[in-house]
Amino acid sequence: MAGGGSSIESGEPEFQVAPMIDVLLVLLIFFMSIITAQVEQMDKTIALPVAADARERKPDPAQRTVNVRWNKSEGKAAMTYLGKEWDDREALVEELKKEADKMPHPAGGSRLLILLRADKETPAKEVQAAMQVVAQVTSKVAFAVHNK
Amino acid sequence: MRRTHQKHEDPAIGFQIAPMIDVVFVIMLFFMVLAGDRQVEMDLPMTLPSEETNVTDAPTPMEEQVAVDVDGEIAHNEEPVTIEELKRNFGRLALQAKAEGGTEPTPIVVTISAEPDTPWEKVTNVMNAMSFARIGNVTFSVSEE
Repeated sequence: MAGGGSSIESGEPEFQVAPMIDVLLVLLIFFMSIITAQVEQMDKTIALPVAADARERKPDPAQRTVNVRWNKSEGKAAMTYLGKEWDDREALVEELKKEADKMPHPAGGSRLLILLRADKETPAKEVQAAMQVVAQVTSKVAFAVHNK
Repeated sequence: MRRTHQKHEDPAIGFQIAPMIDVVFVIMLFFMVLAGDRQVEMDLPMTLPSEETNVTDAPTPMEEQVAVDVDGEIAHNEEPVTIEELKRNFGRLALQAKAEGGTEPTPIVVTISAEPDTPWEKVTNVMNAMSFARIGNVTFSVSEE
């Protein structure tokens, strides 16, 4: 195993495994922690539509994700936010308003950006209902799609 | 330090950097090839109409109507169009808005009218055309059942 006294003895620089593992573990923990926060907001059961001309997503701390899941067998849509299903849309509006209040824009209003992730088979009326919820909180919205 | 002593006693057991770099390069190459074909989530950023965005001295926007039915058939200002034609139309409008507006392009507001049961996928085709022409103001309406 490299490392130890030989480098001191010979005076040549040598590859040190232990600090490399230390650094890798720290990086691993860092990525695990930031990904967990993002994954919490994403509903992986949703099949997104494809839009080739969509823009690359930029990380935005003012972004919150609202999912619209479509249950085809029941013919019912469900809105989820922070892993919780929100049947009461007014309650969701209130929850989002609380978030919006936390991030005021210097020019007035809020910096809050809602990422709307709707299943590609969701009927337009259900997405419109979700948009009505979003519109009560912010005008900034982004629709999640896949590149291919 | 203990490891160094072991190295001297048994030179066969030792950390070999060269094969590790070989393996790391192969893994890196594998992920690089894989990354090119990856399906990633992207955004269609839009601005919804709201009270906050209503500025009295803002120029009068160009209003465009796009209707989408359940089968994904599209009509732009009541003219049936294909998605490619819609992209071209929006591209022309964006250029026109830039030419008319001077430094500040005339805003274009697209009203998408969909039937209640139109799949979301069909509506995003229109939004994709908007994104292609860098049009970001959208109003969404669903016709009564």
